[in-house]
Amino acid sequence: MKILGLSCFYHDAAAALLVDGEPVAAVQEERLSRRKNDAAFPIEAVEYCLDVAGLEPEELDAVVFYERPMLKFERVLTTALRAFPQSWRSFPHAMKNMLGEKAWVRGIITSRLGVPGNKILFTEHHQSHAAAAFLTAPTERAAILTADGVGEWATLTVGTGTRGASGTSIQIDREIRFPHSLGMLYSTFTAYLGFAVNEGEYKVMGLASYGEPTMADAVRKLIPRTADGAFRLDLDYFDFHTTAKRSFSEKFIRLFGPPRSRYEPINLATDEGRRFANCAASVQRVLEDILVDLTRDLHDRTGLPDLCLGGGVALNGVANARILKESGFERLFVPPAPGDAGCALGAALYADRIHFGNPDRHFPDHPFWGPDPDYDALPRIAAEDKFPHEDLTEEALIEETAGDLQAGRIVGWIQGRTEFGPRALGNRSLLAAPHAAAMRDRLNRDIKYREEFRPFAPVCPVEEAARFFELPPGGARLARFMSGVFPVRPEWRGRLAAITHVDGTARLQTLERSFAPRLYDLIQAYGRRTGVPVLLNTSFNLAGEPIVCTAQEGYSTFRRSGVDLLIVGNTRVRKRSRAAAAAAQEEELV
Amino acid sequence: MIKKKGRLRRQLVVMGSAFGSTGDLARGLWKGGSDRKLMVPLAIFLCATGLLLVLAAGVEALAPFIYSIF
Repeated sequence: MKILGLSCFYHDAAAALLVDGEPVAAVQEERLSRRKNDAAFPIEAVEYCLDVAGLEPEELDAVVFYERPMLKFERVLTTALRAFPQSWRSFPHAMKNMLGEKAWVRGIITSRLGVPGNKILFTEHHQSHAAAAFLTAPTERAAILTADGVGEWATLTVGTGTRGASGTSIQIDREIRFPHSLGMLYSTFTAYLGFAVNEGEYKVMGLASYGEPTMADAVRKLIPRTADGAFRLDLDYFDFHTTAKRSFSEKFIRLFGPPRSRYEPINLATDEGRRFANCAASVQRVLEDILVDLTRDLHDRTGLPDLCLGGGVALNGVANARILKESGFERLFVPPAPGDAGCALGAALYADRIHFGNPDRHFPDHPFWGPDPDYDALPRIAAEDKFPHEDLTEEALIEETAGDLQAGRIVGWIQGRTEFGPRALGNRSLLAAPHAAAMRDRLNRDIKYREEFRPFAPVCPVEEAARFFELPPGGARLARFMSGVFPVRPEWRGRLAAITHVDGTARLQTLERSFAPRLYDLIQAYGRRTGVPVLLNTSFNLAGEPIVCTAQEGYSTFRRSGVDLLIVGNTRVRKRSRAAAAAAQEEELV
Repeated sequence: MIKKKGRLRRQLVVMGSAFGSTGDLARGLWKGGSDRKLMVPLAIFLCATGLLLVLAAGVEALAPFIYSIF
């Protein structure tokens, strides 16, 4: 069967294609349209997926949308009516937003792809998250927890999944419904701290390390626990259910103080800056405590050793590490795309394995489902630009790049198919030496143009990771897709200053050779030279842009930023020294 | 290769399928208990308004007439 999964219209539109139960392609629309967090109908992503399989849209057996739009509309309508009269201002906006396009997904898919309506299926939002988490994990039986801002009604679900020769099932046992939502709580603080909602949550997590959870009791007032171990939001502190303009209320401001203006930088040397950091630390602590309680209860009830975690909340690596350490689960699986983009894949898998009852299949344990770069493009563009380029042998590429990294150069690294999900896991990465804090500052200042409190991640061969990082049992697995934050061993913090966050932790990626062989060899070569087989690995993009996808985009980013050399496949382009650049310019003028 | 359709044709396809979607919504609300049943007329009215929006977006010549309805 040929099944296309789609997610779109909220944030991170994506498409994923399964052929006979096997994933063929999956990509976020933003990587192709070049609009960050593009939520539009993913027509370019669909075209790419169909091209990879050599299919026409009419050859698809099913197109699966990742949620039920009419159920979502029912929630929006019900919420607006419940909040009346406070919601009267936002009501027309909400209706226009829903009914202009989002409600008519079946018709839109038919009109854009020409697929008849009877081939279009819908899964529930959290079913898609659960399927993306469980059906991509190397386990046959696991507890499942999904948590995000909101889907249709559910904001958090718990259940179990079983797969194998006897069939596949995902059983959701309990759910928490809108407006009571961990994701909305965190997003409200994201907005309060002056960051963009659905985009700046990871900045809150980064900022939290600079503060102390001195306001945790105040945050707990916002989210009292219920007798059954769940939670509810005290809606007096929130406005997201009554207006789209602001998510926190006046009562919230009376409790926490004035919100931060997004145009004012956070100065951690001031009382105000520290208040914001403490605020971030407090909401982070409360989120972690609740997740640990919920997962501990889930472990006690199911007795299973494995937990699959999905939904946007699963991007919180600090919370994931605490869950692994304290919940009782032995292994924690977070997919490379736990957010809404991953739901495209989840919806397709749910339809294949559960709706159509097709047999379970092994799911390849990597995130590389996007486009390959055009390896001929870099020599061509570099030649047009009169930039010297070299084609290197495998051995020379590895050894010379390791030398460049050792010399403090920043490398743009493009190899193979692009990653599906928000993390650069080795195929679209910026690589650098992890030793000096000056490297972190240079990356923040000259390339990523971002806040100084944002940390960078390390990548390390899996068999070496425990030497440098304090990994609990199951930690290496959680770090496979950079889903956990772990302490750097104290004796290494000085030599790994560029990737060690202020609290002594790092969001580690552990690497097996089969996962990304060339990167693995590069790290080992770097380790032979320096004694530390660890590299700084950050996404290959500039602030506000999606991660690069093609060689051309990589070259453009290379030219516009402080990246020293670019490697696409075996081709290397190096920035000229100032003297050489001036000479070349002079030559051009003559 | 995905065949590109004209905007009007696309909007007409969307409109054609919207009745089924509206029906699904109304059925869901009807089965959802007495308080939800009360929302059925409002939901149908809003969906009809939404369809007008879709139509207006597809056929620009109709926009002034639709504007005058409100």
